[in-house]
Amino acid sequence: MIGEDKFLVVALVMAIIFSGLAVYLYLLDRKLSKIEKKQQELLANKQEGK
Amino acid sequence: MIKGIWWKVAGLLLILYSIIYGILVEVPVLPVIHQTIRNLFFHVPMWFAMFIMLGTSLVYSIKYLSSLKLKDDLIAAQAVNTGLFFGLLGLMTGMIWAKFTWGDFWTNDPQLNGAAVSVMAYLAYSILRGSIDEKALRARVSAVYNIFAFMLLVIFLGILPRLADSSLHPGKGGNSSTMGDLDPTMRMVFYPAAIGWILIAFWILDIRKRKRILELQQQP
Repeated sequence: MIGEDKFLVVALVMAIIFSGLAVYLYLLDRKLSKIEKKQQELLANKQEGK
Repeated sequence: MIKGIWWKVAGLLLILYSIIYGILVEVPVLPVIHQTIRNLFFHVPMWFAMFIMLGTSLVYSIKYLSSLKLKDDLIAAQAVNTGLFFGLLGLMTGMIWAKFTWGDFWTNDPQLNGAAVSVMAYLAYSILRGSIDEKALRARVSAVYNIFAFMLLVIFLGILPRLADSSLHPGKGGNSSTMGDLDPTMRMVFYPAAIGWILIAFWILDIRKRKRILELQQQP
């Protein structure tokens, strides 16, 4: 029983660490999307200016 | 690259499932390996992800040589970097597993040495790219080298360890393959884990590619 508890703790800790990495990836992805959008708007404005 | 967000979510969920169920599932009790067999759910998918990334890189290098579009070279380079990341994780998980089963972090085994040589061949790719300033020349030389490096990878990881007389590694040197004898309950964790890590590798590649494109657009 004690052994099974330890397995659960390991699974939980690994899941939390992985969730942290997943959130980091998601935030990075979202940040990039925002910058890409801004970049596209800038390019569009430049082309309109010409 | 794949469109939408579904594959990113699928990758995350598959890995989360493989982490939780992989630790809690009943595994066959084998001599020497014991509970460390669970590392199979993490160690082997790392190599699968690396192979897929380096294969992707090869495809884009060949594409670059036929089209001469710098975007193809950029994707090839980022795929190598992502593949290297997974290769190093594969080496690390393998070393930890080896310590608990074979008693040492590194043994003089054809599979281990082949993996190290392959990773070094791709580290050399990164160094080669860094040493050439002219963009078109760098892209062409590294694309050609990439084809050569992939051949090395296949020889050192896929062919030579199988031909070796003796190896501690499962599936190599005449040993039975872990994959072929894999318990059905373990298959239920292993395949989702492999697919999940491959999807996450593509997500990392996508992020790296987009970041690099933005950096290049910012340059004068």
